[in-house]
Order: sequence, then structure tokens, then C-alpha cells
Amino acid sequence: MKKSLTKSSLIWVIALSCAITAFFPGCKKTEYPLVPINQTLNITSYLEANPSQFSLFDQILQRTGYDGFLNAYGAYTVFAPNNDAVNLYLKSRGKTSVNDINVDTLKDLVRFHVILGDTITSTYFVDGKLRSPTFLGQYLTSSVINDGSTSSYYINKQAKVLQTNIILGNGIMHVIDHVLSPATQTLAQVIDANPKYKIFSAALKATGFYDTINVAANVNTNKARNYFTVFAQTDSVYATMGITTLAQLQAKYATTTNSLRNPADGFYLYMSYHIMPENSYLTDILSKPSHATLSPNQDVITDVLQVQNIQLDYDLINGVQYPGVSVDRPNSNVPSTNGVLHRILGDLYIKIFPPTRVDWDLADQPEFRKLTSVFRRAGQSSTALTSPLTNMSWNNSAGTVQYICQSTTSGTYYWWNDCISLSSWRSTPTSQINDMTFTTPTIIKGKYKIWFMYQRGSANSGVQFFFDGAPMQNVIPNLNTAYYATPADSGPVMESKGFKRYTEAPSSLTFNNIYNTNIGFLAGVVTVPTTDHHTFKIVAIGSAVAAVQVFDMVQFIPYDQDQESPRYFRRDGSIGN
Amino acid sequence: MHKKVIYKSVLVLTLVLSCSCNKYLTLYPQDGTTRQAYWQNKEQLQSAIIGIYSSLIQGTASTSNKASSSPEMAETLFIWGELRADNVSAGSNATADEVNLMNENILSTNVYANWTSLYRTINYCNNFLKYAPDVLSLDPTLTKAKLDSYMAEALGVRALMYLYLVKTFGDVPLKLTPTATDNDLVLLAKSPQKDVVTQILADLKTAEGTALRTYGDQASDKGRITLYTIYAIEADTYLWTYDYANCIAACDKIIGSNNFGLISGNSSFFNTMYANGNCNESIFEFQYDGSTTQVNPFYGLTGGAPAAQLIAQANVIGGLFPVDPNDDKNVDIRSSIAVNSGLQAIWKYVGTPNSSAQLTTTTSYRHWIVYRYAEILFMKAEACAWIGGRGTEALQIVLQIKARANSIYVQGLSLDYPTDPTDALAVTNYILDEKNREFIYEGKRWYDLLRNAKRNFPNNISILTNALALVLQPAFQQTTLAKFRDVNALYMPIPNSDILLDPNLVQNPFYK
Repeated sequence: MKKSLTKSSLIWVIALSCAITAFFPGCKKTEYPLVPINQTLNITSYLEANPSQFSLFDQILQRTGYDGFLNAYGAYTVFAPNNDAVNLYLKSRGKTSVNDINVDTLKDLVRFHVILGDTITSTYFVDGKLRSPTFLGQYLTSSVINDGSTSSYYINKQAKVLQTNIILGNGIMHVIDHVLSPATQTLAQVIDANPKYKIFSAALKATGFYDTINVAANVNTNKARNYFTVFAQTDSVYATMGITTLAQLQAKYATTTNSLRNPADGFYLYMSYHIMPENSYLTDILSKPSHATLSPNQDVITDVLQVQNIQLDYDLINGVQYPGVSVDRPNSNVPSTNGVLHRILGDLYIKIFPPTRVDWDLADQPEFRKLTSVFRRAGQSSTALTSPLTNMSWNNSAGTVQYICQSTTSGTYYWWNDCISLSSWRSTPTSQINDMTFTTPTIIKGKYKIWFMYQRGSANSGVQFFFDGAPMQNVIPNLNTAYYATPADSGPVMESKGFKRYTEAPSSLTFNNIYNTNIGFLAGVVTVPTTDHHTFKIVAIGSAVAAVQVFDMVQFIPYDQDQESPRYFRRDGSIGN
Repeated sequence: MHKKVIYKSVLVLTLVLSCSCNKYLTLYPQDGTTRQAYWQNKEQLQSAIIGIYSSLIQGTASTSNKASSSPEMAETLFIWGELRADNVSAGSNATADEVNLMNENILSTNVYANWTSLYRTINYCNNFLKYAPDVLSLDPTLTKAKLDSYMAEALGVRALMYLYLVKTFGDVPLKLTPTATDNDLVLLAKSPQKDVVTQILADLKTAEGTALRTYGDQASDKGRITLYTIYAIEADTYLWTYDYANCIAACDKIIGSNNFGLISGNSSFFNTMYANGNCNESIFEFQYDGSTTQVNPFYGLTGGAPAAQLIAQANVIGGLFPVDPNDDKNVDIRSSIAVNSGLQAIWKYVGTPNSSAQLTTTTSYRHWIVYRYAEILFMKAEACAWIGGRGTEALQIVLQIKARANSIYVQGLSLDYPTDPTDALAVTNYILDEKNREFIYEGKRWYDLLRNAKRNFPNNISILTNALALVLQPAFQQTTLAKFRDVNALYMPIPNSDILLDPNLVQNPFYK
């Protein structure tokens, strides 16, 4: 009895506590934070989840064993051929099943469809190679092709992109309608196989460059030079020059009777000038203004985009505009196992000039030229511009450079009356300009003395000069004290001290007269390696005092020429003795 | 006895409680008005109409409004009208989405593939159009004419919104009923562009009958839809569909009204037209007034030079606006309004001509001009060029605009006067060239290029590709020009967020 009573009371207690626990926690529900679970599939899982589209590519992955890593953590870009694409591929090889194909072939196939360590969305499908190479080593190219009504992205001009930017857990996937096949020929073989390049190909063989560009990049032992870009000329281009045989081409350019493989011979140089040691599709060509070639004399090819046309060697040299040759865009960007082949529509040759002086007005910058109401108009000045300009940049974004064209009555003596005025050269930290890099006009290769023309500044800081990154011999220790206050000194005496006068400022014995403060300073002697634009950099040295600093011009004068003639660089722009 | 008291009190309590239940469960919002309480009198109609105009400038402008998922309307219209065209470059603070638009790398997730602000205003219009007519029976002081004029305003704004949508996206969902409750949510599919245009024209025809010519004061005449605004939208729509006769007819109604004219191109041109706004040349403007919520989005987009998001394309000064080599004081009055050449800044909204002074975030409230008289003239000119036999008339109009602005002719840089006025394409190029100078940075350029590029597509696509080839990044130039050979690529993608929410909405096939 007692036992049962206890039992029933126990039941009551349990029931009661159940009721209480059932009631009270219900009142105050404990909120656990939701842990977000990423539902996005990884690449292999996505393929498995969509068998109607990708069952065959999935089979290939499984057969090659690559399904594992494509389902693991990483950042991949995959161009996935759909089932129709794989069926086309099988059919082209006369096979009915993925299992009929050699595993190694399939491995290469998959490796050519996968980019490791980079996720490339369609916004990066440029007009050339994608930014990272495939797992196989070769780059893929992208383009947009219109089939008459619709425009689509194409990969390698082989496969249309059916669906872009499928974002998955470990990468990004694009669906393509054909299987991509990597290039199998070397550049030399590609050129040789094209009947349009008979003369060019024969010339490559004659000069030995054929062998240079006949080694696939992955087997080349010289890893620093395993990719090439060739600008080839068709037989019809040669025909317009009256050249129909290799012998005629050789006769046009050869300068010696020695062996054709003589690096000093004009014909050898001519051929070497068509090959660049880099893997550059047309967009890569455009990304830099000039490119080195295999020429032993370090000749460069320059490039410029004229609306849609890519023009090579469109150069302004000594005031003469050379038209250069244009690139045949539709027939360019041909891939190979060791680089790219482009076609040009004219004859590309090395222009040979003796070293020639360049008088370079630092104030003649495209940004200032555009200000036609200011540029070289007396008494006008521009607003202060910030870095970078097209051909000028400096270290501090707060520092500014102003174009000033002095009024005719200002009493200053700049060439063209104009100069660049820096907000401050090594002064207060907020706006100080500590270094400034200029892109020079085209300078023909050779040995030059460089003269730097400036006005004496009130700042006690100095200038160190760099040409193509290498420091030059002389420095201006102090822009305030480095001027020339001895009017009696003749030109040669001044030159021996590393100075020269270049303005028409009237002679004066007065200390600190304008005559003495506009001065040319010999920065040093440089050997300009290539006929090209180069970088000229000035770096502030010495103590820091807040002050505006003004620079006028730079002269590049061949070192063996008279450094003092022409003597005068006048305010109206004329030059004379 | 006690029991009775208890029973009674329980009864009373129950009654009281059960009565209060009703009231307790029916809650009205404390901080808003319900539809049943609204739409009662003509004052509320007036408020609702002004509310529609307010929605055009709704949004908080800030220097970093990129973070907001839905940019305000004027920003959207500026971006749509300018970024894909040839006058804007990326400044140092440009966002990835802006740069992608400039390079035609548009994904449906781009922040400017967004029509929220336009459909929001459309919904306000739809609400008005549905509920306003009921007020006629509730407020005896409301006249039918007054109601109809309000209706015309709502129809006009809605037509304008749909016209922008059609020009930008092509086919768009056509929603003509209000979305007031969850029950009103419908999963709409896209309507074909021509159906939307038919609806736009039908609405405008209705509005034509009742829209007011004037509200009695200049600010309202420029900030609210008048009959002339209706004609302007009509002309724009007809030109978009290449219905030249009707376009000219609509333009002539505005020209013939003698209510508008070109203001003179003197030294006060900038102040009259842009700094003050509401000038005699203007037809319809978004009127920012400078109060905290009513600054425009342009400081955020173009202000703060040299560190602006968007800057002027390098060829605008020197190319589009050539400088007279013989006399630099002889200038096009529009050039220093458009661009500050020293800073390469877009100057129309934040600057003052020939000065480096800029407005600030709080003082940037110049109006966004939707239509002005000069554009009516250009629309007529373009229609005249194509209708046949009126090419000379078209060219005369261009000369009229050129003369007003002192357009500079420089041999080799400027387009030559077409020798053959019957050559519609040459005349059109001449018109477009001048229109670009006149309306630079006013959100017109892309639509002008697009309208002319898709005429007899793809025969005239070179109008668009020639303009853009110069300004595209070299790495994307060829891909972009190839994209434009697909007519679908000319339109923006349907916003990704809407695709996700509405299974009936199909993406533009180009954006696969």
C-alpha cells in the first residue's frame, strides 16, 4: 500500500515536473544561433549532380583519377565540356566510350581544361590569353565570336561557352560545347606548315632561328627562354616588295658575305628582329609600349593601338614619323607549344640611326599639350595635377605639378618660356615629392651625355639622377647653391666643371641674377641600350626645406659631339648659336 | 448570495474581456496611414502626387553609396546613359562594377543591373491610378478635371519609367496594378518590348487629354509633368521605335506652343541652365533642393577630383571639344561646363566653369534634367533625317544649336557639314556629334548610340563601335566590339536578385 502510494505520488511528481518543464521552457525558448551550412557543391559533386549534362566528363575525371582533387579544397577554373561535346570528341576519334581512350591522353585532356589556383570569371575573358596557364602548362585564349546573330565567348576559338560563371565550392566552372585540344606543333612547325610563309620559313631555317623556336616549352632546358612570339610575313607581303625567293630577301638585307648565321650580318639581324623571347598574345603586346627581340643588338619592337589597328614600330625619331607595319589581327594569336604566332601586313625591319641628340622639354607633356589655351601661351598656367601623368609620375599622391608658361615680361628665360613647377621638392611630408620618373622620348641607342636644365631653387635639397634605374655619375647636392655665378668663365671652362648655360639671359655680374640661376647640369654619361623610350628618374637628396622647385628641360647629346652647340634655347622655342 | 455576486462579476468580466478581444486583435499601425483611412479627399491626392515626384529623388546620397544595393534613380540613369558610352573614364576611386560596365563586362550581379528605384516609382503610380478615382465620390470638392490632371501626371511618370526600362533592358515585366499587400505579389514574366511601348503610348495618349499646360509657377512647371512633358516622352518613344512622322508631330506640338526656347549662350548660360535650374529651356527636371535628403548623387560619382570615381574621357577636351588653334578665347560655352580640363573632372554637376572650386557633399544639389527644349529639336532633327526629303531641315536645327553654343570647327578634328542632306546616315552622324556636345553627361549618349546602332541591325552598328573603339581598354576592345554584333548584348541583364525570386523571369539570352 505504502509502496503503491509512493509510486503514485512519484508518478504525480514526475507528471507535475513534466508539466512544469513542458510549460516553462516553452515560455522561454532558448535560441541557438543558426550555423550556416554552405550548400554549394564542389566541382566533381556538381558534375555528378547533373548527369544529363556532364556524365561523360565525370567519367573522364574518374578514369583519370582527377575527380578527387576537383572535389577537394582549392581554387580552380574548369572549362567543362558537356556530354554533346565529349560525344563529338569520341566520334572524331572513332571511339564509342570514354573507356576506349588511353588514360594518359585523357589526363592531358583534363589538364588542359583546368586552371589551378585561380578562379577566372567571364569578366576577365580578355582578347587574348587568360591570365593563368592551364594545369597542362599551355595558356587558353578567350575571344567573342558572333555567329551571325548571337555573340558568345569562345575558348581557344575551339569551343563556345554555353554557360558562364557557375560558382562552386572550390572554384568556378564554365560549360563549353567542344572539347579543347592543346596545340601540338612548335612555332617553327606551325610556320612551316602554313604555305603562306614559304619565304619566311626558309629564312628562319637559313639563319638557324628555325631550330631556336622548334623546341616545345615543356622540354626546353633553357627555362628563361622557352617561349617565343613571332611576327611572320607572308609571301604576298614579300611579293609586294618584289621579293619572291629567299635569295632575294637575303640580298636585300645581308651586309656581309659570311655565313648566314653570323650574328653581325644584316640578314641575321633582320630575322632575329621578328622573334621576341616572350609568350605574348596581342593584348600582351599592347600592355607594354616596346618589346625586346632576339636581336643581339637589343633592338626593340614598339607597338601602339590606333583605334582598332595594332601598329608596330610607329616611331617618331628625329622629328620624322615612321609609319611602321600593322598587325593582321584575324590571323594572329595562333598558339603553339612554345609561344604565339602573329602575322604582319608589311615589312618589319631594324631602323639604323647614328646616335642623335634629343632636346627634351619636360613641360611638353601630353596632358599639358591638351590645354591649348595654356600650353606655350605666355602668362598662362595649368591647374596643379597629381600623379600619374602619361609620361610622368611621382611618389606622393598629395604632391602636385603645375605647368607654367611665363609671361613675356617675367624676366625668366625658360625654353619655350615654360617649365614644370613642383609643389615641393623634398619638404613638408604632406605634399613632398621625393622622386619623379619620366618616360623619355625615343632615344636612339648609343652613348650620351645627359644635361639637366633647371632654375636655382630656394630649397637646400639636391637631386640624384637615374637612367633606366641605374644611378648616374653626378648629383646636384643642393639646388640652392648649385648655380654658376662666375660670368667671366667661358663655355669650355664651365663645361669642365659640369655646367653650361643654355638660355639667352643677359650677362650680369650681379650675384643671383637670372643669368646665373638658369643652368644646365651634367648629370653624367649613359649608354642607351635600345632605340626606345627609357625612364629618367630624379630623386631628392639632402636636407628638407619647403619650397617650390622648377625644372625646364633635359638634353641627351651624343658624348662625342659638341656639348655647347647649339648654344641658345630661346623663349620663343627657337634654337641657335 | 456570494455565489450570485461571483457569477455576475464573472459574467461581466467575461463580457468585458470578450468585447475587448475584438478591439485588441484589430490593430492599426501607429506610425502610418492605411489605405482605408487614406484616399479620402483631394488634399491627399495632391500629397500622393507630390509623393511620386519625391520618389524620383528618394535615397540618401553619400560619397560611398556603392554599398547600397539599390542606387537612387538619378545615379542609375546617369550610369546607364553614360558608362557604356564614350565620355566617361574610370577615376582612381572607381568601383569594380563601374569599370566592368565601361568594359561591357556586365554580369547580372552588377550593382547597376538594378531597376528597383524605377519599379518603386511605378508602384506609387499604380497605387495612385487605382485608388485616386474613388475619391471623386468621397470628396465633393474634387472636380473631375482636377482628378484627371493628377491621373495624367501619374500616367506620365509611369510612362517615363517604362521608357527608361525598355531602353535599358529591352523586354521587361509590365506591372500596371499596385502592389499593396502580400496578396498583390505576382510572379511576372517579361513582356515583349513592343507591348511595353504600346502601353507607354496608350498611357501618354490618355494623359494628353487631361494634362495641364501649366501649374502657375515655374518650379512646378519644370518639376511636374505638364502636357509638354507628355509630348516630350511621346517624341522620345516614337523616335525609339523609328516612327518618324509621329515623333515630328509630337516635337512640333512643343515647338509650336512657343512656351520654350533656347536660352542664350552668354556668360550666364551655366548658371541659368545648370546651377539654378528650372530655366525656360527646361521641360522636366528632378528637383533636388539641398535639404539633407535632397542632395543629388553626383558628388559621390564625379566629385572630389582628382580622386573621383568617374572622370572625363581624355579625348573630350581637345577631341570632342576641339580648341580653336588661332584664338583660344574663342571657346564652345559647353566645354568648360562639361569638363575641368586640368583635373580631367566631370564638371557639370560639381564644378563651376573656369574655376577649380567644387561643390561639396552637402551643396551638390543641381537638378537632373530629364528633357529640355534642345533635345526636342535634336529628336526632330533625327526624325527629319530619316523620314525622307527633310534632311536640310535636320541640318538647320543642328546649326541652330551650334550657333547658340559657339561650337568650334577645327579642320580635321570636327565633323564636316554633310554634303548630301539626303544621306540619312551622314546627317545622323552630324546630329549625334553635336548632340554629344550639347548633352554630354546628361545621361543621353548611350541611348543615342544604341537607338542608332539598332536601326536596321546590324547595318548601322558602326555608329556604336566607332564611338567606343577609341575608349575601350585594349585588352577588351575586340571582344566588346564582337559582343555588340548581338542585339541582345546592347541591353542590360535582368537583375540577378529578381531572377532568383521570380521563376517566370527569363534572363536575356546574351548573359548566359
